[in-house]
Amino acid sequence: MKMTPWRHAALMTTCLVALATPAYAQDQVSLVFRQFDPPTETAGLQEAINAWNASNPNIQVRMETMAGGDTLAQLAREVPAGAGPDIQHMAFVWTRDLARSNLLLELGPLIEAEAPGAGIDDFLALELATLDDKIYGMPWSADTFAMAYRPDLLEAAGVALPDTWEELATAAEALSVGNGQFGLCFPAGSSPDSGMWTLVNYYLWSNGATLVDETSPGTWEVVATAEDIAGAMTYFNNFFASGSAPESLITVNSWGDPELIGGLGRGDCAITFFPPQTFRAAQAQSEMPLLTGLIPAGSEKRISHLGGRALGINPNTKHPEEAWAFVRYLLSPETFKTYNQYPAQNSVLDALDFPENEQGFVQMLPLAQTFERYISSPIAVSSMTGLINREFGAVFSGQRSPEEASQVVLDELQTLLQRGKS
Amino acid sequence: MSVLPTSAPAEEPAQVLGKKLEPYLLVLPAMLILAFFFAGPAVYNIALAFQELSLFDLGREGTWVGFDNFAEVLTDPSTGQSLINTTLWLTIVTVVLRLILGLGLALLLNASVFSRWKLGWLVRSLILIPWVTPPVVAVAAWKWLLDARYGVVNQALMGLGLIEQGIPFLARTSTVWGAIETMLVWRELPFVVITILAALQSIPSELREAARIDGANEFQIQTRIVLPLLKPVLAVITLLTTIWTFNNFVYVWLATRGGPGDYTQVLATQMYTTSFVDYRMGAGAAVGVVMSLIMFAFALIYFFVIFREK
Repeated sequence: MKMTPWRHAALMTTCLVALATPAYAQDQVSLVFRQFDPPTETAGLQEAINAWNASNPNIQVRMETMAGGDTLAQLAREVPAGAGPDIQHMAFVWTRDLARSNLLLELGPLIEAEAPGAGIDDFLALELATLDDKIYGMPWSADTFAMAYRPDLLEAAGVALPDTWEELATAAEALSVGNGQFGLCFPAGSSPDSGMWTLVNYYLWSNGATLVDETSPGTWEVVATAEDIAGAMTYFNNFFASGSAPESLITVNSWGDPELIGGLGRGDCAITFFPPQTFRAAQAQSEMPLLTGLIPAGSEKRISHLGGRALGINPNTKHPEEAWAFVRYLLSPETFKTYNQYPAQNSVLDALDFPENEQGFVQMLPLAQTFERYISSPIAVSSMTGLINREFGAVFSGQRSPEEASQVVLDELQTLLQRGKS
Repeated sequence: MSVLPTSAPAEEPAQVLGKKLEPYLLVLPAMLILAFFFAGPAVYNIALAFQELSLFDLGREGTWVGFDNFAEVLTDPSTGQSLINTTLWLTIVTVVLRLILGLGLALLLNASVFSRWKLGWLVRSLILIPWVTPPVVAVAAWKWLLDARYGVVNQALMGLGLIEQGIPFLARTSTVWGAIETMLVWRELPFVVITILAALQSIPSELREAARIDGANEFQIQTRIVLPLLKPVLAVITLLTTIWTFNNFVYVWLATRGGPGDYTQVLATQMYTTSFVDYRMGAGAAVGVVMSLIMFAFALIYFFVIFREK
């Protein structure tokens, strides 16, 4: 067969493409970043990732979303099998558990090579990302809860913003006016991931109690009494007994449930508690302006929890440096221009201005404490959460009295403590 | 001229071996698939049930603890409650309901009027709607239907003046099992109806006609001829639906997560909670093995009864 010029050209082109494709593929790194916020809250994050991809053609990042409840178990299955995303979005409380089982890359060498942000000491809640003095996760976003309310409803009922738990109960009763408007709404579901856990701890902590504590170095004990727990159960159950909270909330688990977000906006609920992102979602669909206020004070103090999200790198990743470069980008002020969360870095946080209706969060942040005590205890936090939510649900539905349920809580905490120690 | 029969040439040993191996080679692919996807995980689960192993240490071997996990599961009071919930409220009630409703609906749909008006295809399609709805979607839809404040069911009941306030069906202990059973029966009924309908349509019409000529009325035809002929099909349906329902996780988990409190906790949700909330894979696997043993015993008794009758 005679080789015509166009055949020569075609052959040369094919050879060039064949040679160039692997070289191009080698140059371009593809990373998977998995996060668990709902798609309704990730538009800003996707925007930040798009900006990264546009300015970093050689490191392309694909965002993967997974339901929060499934993420941890999925990671625990994938990583031992040599798989999993390159970069993982984690709850603060997960980092140590994952690190203990070598499911996260130790970040020390990467931090030393290129420190993130204004330096490692600039980050909040770094102790939760640390195990045996080694860092396994970078605190990314920080949040706490504030009371969210409809000022117009409080004004119409002549009710002042409640300052203590007792005042909250009284105000909720006054705000329940019988035409489908209830004073207080909160997720009272029994699911292991129900939001009830948060409120229970606010109530207990502010009244001087805590579930478990390290009473002496290395000795962990259940320190809350049956009276403490039964008191909290009775307090929250009274909202249902008095009709200040709708009974349907006994099936609601998430703070982001439409019954809470939409309820506040429609005026079905006068007061609830929200983290910042959820408050913004509620405000976006509210008929009237919303405000935030302080979490009610107990007999001892006023307190909330410092929660948040961290970023970890998979020990199986083939591109740790590139993953670290992307993590540093996520931590940077540039990301927070579109990513609608509070940063877990003091310097970035200080540089931000918060709107007037979010002042509740700003005031609560200095009063917030992490779940470090529970995370350090021999009990898995998820077990404690599941137990508390289940037994509060048992009281709300009338299965058990507060006294019976609080005893179940104490007995099971003791069992979990013993098992953890063994 | 007669043709004498000639003996076939003797086969080579390789050919004989090939013929002997042939059936085994034919079933080998299927057996490998079964071993890889079914037997392998089952054996791993049994091995896991004898170990103490955290969810985070799945890549490693756990600590062998003998029967400790089984002892813990069997002495835990919550297991007893879960077993009652699984057996009675989740399985027996819904299987019986499905059999009764399925038989009744199948008899109705088998009526000659549908074939006379050429509507058989329509009723079969309509009855399949719940079956083609994914369980997750079905439960989500039912949760909205049953919502205390905005749900259609409560709105209708209030509109009819039967109730003054919406009932939180999934929050009250008096109504929660009924709500879950409604979701399950609605979604799973078509399988029973379609299977019985197929069996009904395979019964020769001559049998009914002969019975009518002999003076039998419609009730006698149904009880003396139709039902006995349906017995093998009903037996298979009972076995399958019982096993599927006993092991079912989806309906309870999506509807209530085992709540309120632990009122609707079943063995499948207990297994999930132990494994993925308490991170105790060994104890969770032990719950799974106990569930399998119960179903294995059920199947043995069932087959024993069926074969003894035959």
